[in-house]
Amino acid sequence: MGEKSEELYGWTGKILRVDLGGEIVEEETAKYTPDFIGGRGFAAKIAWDEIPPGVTPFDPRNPLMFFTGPLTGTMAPFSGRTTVSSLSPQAHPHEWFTRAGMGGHWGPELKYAGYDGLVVTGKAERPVYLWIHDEKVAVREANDLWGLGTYETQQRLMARHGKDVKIVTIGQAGENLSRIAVINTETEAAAGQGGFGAVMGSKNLKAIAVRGTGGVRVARPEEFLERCTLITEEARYPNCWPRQPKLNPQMVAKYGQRFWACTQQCTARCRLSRYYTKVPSVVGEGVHSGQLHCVSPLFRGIKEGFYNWDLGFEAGFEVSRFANDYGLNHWDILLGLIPWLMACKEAGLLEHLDGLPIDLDDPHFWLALLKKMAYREGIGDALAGGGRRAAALLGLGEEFSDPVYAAWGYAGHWDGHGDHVNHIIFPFWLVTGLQWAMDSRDPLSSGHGYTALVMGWSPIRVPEDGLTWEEIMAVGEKVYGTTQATDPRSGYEAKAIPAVWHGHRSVLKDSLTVDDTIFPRTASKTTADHVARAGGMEGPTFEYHLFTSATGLEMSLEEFDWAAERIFNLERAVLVRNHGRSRETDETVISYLEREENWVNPFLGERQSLDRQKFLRLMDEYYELRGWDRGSGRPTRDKLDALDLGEVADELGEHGLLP
Amino acid sequence: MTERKRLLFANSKACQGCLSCVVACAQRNEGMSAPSRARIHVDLEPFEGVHRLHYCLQCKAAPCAEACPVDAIHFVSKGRYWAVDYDQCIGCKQCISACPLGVMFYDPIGDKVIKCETCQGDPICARVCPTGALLWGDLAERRNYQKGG
Repeated sequence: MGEKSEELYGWTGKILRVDLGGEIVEEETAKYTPDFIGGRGFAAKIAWDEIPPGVTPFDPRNPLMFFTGPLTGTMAPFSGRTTVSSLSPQAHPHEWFTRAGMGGHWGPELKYAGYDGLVVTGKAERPVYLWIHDEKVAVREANDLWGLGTYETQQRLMARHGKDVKIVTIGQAGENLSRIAVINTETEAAAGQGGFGAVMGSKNLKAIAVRGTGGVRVARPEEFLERCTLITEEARYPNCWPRQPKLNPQMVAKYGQRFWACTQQCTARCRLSRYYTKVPSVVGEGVHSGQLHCVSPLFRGIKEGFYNWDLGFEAGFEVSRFANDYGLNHWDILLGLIPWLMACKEAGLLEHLDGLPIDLDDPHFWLALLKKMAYREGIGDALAGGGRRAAALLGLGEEFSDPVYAAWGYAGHWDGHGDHVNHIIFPFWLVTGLQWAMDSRDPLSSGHGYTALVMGWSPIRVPEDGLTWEEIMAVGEKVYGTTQATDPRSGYEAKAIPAVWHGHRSVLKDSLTVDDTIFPRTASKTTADHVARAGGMEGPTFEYHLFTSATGLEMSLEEFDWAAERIFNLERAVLVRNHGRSRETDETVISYLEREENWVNPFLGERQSLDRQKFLRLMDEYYELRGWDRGSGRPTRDKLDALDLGEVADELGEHGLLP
Repeated sequence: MTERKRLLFANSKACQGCLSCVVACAQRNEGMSAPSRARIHVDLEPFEGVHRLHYCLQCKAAPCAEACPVDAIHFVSKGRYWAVDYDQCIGCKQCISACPLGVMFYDPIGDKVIKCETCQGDPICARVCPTGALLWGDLAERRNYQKGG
């Protein structure tokens, strides 16, 4: 690794540790830099050092960690994100250590207050919130905030502490320990998956308000500005996505539709994110405002298709807004719980919820459902566990939750099976299937890179604006070393390579922190060979170039990738030591993928399903690429030594967990 | 060739709240990514949806300059902006009180008043703005810009 500079650049140098049952102390970031980069890397190190086996999510000892990275709060494009890590109440069947990403402006503000991260342990006796104003940190009474939604909590704290304060908060769902409770900031940015809102609720911590008047220094400002500018220019339409995002003039006039940055330093007009300033309430009175991005447009339903309810835009917006306010996880509700409820109803297992007829075309039904979940009223007590647990708890239609929950208590995502929105075909979902098999959560939060290339640019999805298959294969050859990795006529060959590669890219994004929609930059519309590059920097090295300019570290590209692999292995070691993670665990995703796929590969002409034996061999390849033991799926002594994790190997050995 | 009269224009409706302008301003002028040290501020409005941009309009008759008891704020013709002469400034902050737009700011780290000096005629905020919410241009360009040109 590179030598540490005398002064830290990129990082602020301090981590805040708050024990809600005890002291508030500061820790030197230098303890973790540069090797663990930031964000997810710091959290993995702390999880390994400080979470002993046997600790569960609602145990006061479970640390709730909020980490930024060396790029957060700087001019680096798409860098405003925060990684939240903890033991997860949503994860199933193991409540293991995992993470969630969050946009908004909170992470940068934490750095301006002087902190690279915040680790909360313990439990307050009464409801409290944290008020961080630069170096002044106070635990304040929150009796007046407890019971409020995420919007009003933020508005009250802004009225109290000033408009510039940035806030993360839980709604009623988090207070009542719903296992799909989110941590929310602004209207719709959230640490969504994982149920971390319930971890916050279990600590009696309602909100964390931050105001920072300091800043972040970068090591080589002129070079950094130049690189930021080049990458910003490159990562725009038509390079970052094939079709130019446009506002809908009717939606602009009627609902005040506008472009909206989900996170600080987002310099692209996003194809996903929109803000609406005035959407009339359908169920109540007045108008609602807020953001719709990612999954929430699905609340309205898609008449022709799997999600075939029809709420219409206004009611869909209102339901989405209430889900945000209660602090409930959109993805679990829309891709997991509702499809399961629909199937239960269709099979005649369930007609109503506590007397409330199941009618997905009626916004009143949706709002009543959300309220039941947030307050755990009646059947809402079980539903608050998310669709995966509710099916098991109620002993109801588990055969209908299996096809929509890919693994680990998370509903399908870009895997060709449970997720009926994101069009992906065999053999490409073999890669996402492997990503799922090896992760501790839905891997797509920072793992869209492969699907973005093979499907996002494909003649299937964007026949006129995208790339040809030959061009996608040429990009695949540059990035993955073989055309087979992105060949729609291929099968199981060369699919482990992109799964490993994107595993590391995911670590880097969550550690630096930068956005998943944009990074890593692979395909381009403006270069001759369709590989992204700018000013002599290859697209996939953009993050590296931003990191070295910001921190001033003389780290090679190989050392940077080595750091990502090291973090990936340390996370695996935490799961092995604390939760018995093994190849057997990884294989539990197979039965889900053995069902018939949702879409047809035009080169094959019929739907495919997973071939278990071939996938097992693909898993062998994956473990071999990682230097892990094929039989147990665990990191070996040699691998851990090569990653300078000898002490981790020693401890795994003591537990009898070293292959 | 005569110098074009260029000014900074804002279109709040196009601002999507990325704060690129704010961070770049502080980075360029104070060597630090610190919004508290920026000469342009954006009031984020996450619940209403239209952010508000605050920056110096370079008034013809500048109340900040008039309020300054030591004449430390002077007009720079080449570039057409009001600048603070820190050799003369006594730190009384009367300029902050005098500015009707609230765009004479206090930098808590540098312990000094700061205002937009247009980066001496090439404002970085407009250069980095990804949405065209900020425009550095003359009146004709502004008219074209507001028509959506």
